[in-house]
Amino acid sequence: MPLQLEIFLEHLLNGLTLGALYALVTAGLSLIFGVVRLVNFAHGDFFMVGGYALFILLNLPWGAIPYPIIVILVTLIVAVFAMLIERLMLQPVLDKSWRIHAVATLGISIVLQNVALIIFTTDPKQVPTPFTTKIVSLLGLRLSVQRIIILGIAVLVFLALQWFVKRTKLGKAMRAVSQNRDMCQVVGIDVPRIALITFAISGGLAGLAAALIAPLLSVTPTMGLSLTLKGLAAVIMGGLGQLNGSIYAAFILGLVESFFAGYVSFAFKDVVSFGLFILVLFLRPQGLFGRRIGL
Amino acid sequence: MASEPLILELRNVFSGYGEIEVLKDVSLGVRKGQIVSVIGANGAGKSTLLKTIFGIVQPTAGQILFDGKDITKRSPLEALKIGISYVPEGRTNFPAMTVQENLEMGAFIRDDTRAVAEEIDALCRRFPILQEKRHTSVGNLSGGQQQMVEIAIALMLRPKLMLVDEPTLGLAPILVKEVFRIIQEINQSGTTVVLVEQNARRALEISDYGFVLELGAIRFQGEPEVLMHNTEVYEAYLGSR
Repeated sequence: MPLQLEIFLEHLLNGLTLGALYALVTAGLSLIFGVVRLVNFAHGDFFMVGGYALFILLNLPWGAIPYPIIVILVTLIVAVFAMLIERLMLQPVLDKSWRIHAVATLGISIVLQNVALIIFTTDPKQVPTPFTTKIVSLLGLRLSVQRIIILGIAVLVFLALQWFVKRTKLGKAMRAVSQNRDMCQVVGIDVPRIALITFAISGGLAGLAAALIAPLLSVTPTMGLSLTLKGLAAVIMGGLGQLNGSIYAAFILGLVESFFAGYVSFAFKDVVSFGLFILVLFLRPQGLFGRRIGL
Repeated sequence: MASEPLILELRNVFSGYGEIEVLKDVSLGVRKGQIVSVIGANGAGKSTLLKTIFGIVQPTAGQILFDGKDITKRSPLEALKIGISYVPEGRTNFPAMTVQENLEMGAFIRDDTRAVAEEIDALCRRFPILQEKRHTSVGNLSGGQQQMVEIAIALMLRPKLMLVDEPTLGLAPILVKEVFRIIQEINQSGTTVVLVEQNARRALEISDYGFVLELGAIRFQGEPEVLMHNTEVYEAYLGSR
């Protein structure tokens, strides 16, 4: 296979992996914004929490648990963690304005980062899985098994999420809350319960992202911040409250970053992705896939 | 008809929002199987009355009885469970969901999925417009069609008592007629209806009984003919047109 094509495909795969990371984070942000009308500035930190959960589970003193079980555990841990954050800290302010939401979630973010700093120090933690270094050859291409797993699971999760929101009673109730909260009371939909479930799903997605993708990165206390920002950029680019739009936008960001880093400059890749974000705001302020607000 | 038992009774109910008292000592009774209209000017407390019965607003004093049982302190969810449905004023649906999904949400508190599906089928047979637009987003329907969906949402729990707030607001005259016809039909199939309306004359025409609310208190009440022949009521609420 010509080298040119091989490099192109490698950037493509990297971009899709990065896109999957952004998309899993973005989907959670988008769900929370869509259903609860809250911009969760601590969302990237849910990913960080998942990263450290993964670190602990990979380094248990009594020996390792199989990686697939670890993935499930990390997903559940962060889901429960997000539920606790919602119940204890955000639920009391959900009816307040976006300013209070911003201060509350930024505060949670700062506390989480600093607690992580105290416990784990600033040293980046490596979280390799058995699949990180495993390579398979496919049609002459050398592919990292971890990346294939990431892409496969991400696609399955997005299909499942789509099905859940469109077809299940709970998913429909989430859309109902996003579209007309007052009316939910009239038909007996318990809005605080739906909000809690939304946080659980969003946290679970962040946890899953951490369990799958942190092995390609390294875990640091402040890693969440840039993810929150990228995620928010994708949410806005996709059209506020548009779950699918934000997922597409996240993949676009991942691909653009990967190709730019590969062919032009690694150092300036963030400039390009945020530049793209600003461009979208200028040209299509309703988002690439935006119509009206509501899931 | 007058001998039917009371399905709903308010005894000296006071209610409002925080410091602002809207209902002042309201006592009224609604007989089973009737359509009862509450008429009055803007700000008279008509909507607050329905919200208080449904439990969105809690009464500060007084007693509310439903089927003879005290339901004074209850949440909207409990009201739904005992058979009270509420159709609020304005566009109160889930606009980006289809007619089918809106009706499913109307049955949210029911767990018998299959019976709900059959009931949606039945409702769609009964109101052909629902069938025709069944898989269209409700936000894309006309105002009259949306009002139909909203009434149908309230029917999903097979309520004993339906509270309907201004169902004809902003509708074209031909649709006003249609909405009133549907309310009558619902009533004939056994649901008691409390109707709040600006369109006092039309509301009284389909009602068995009427109350006139003024500044949060019941000013007049009686059978529609009595109210229509009351000079004060006539001049204040029915005279124009």
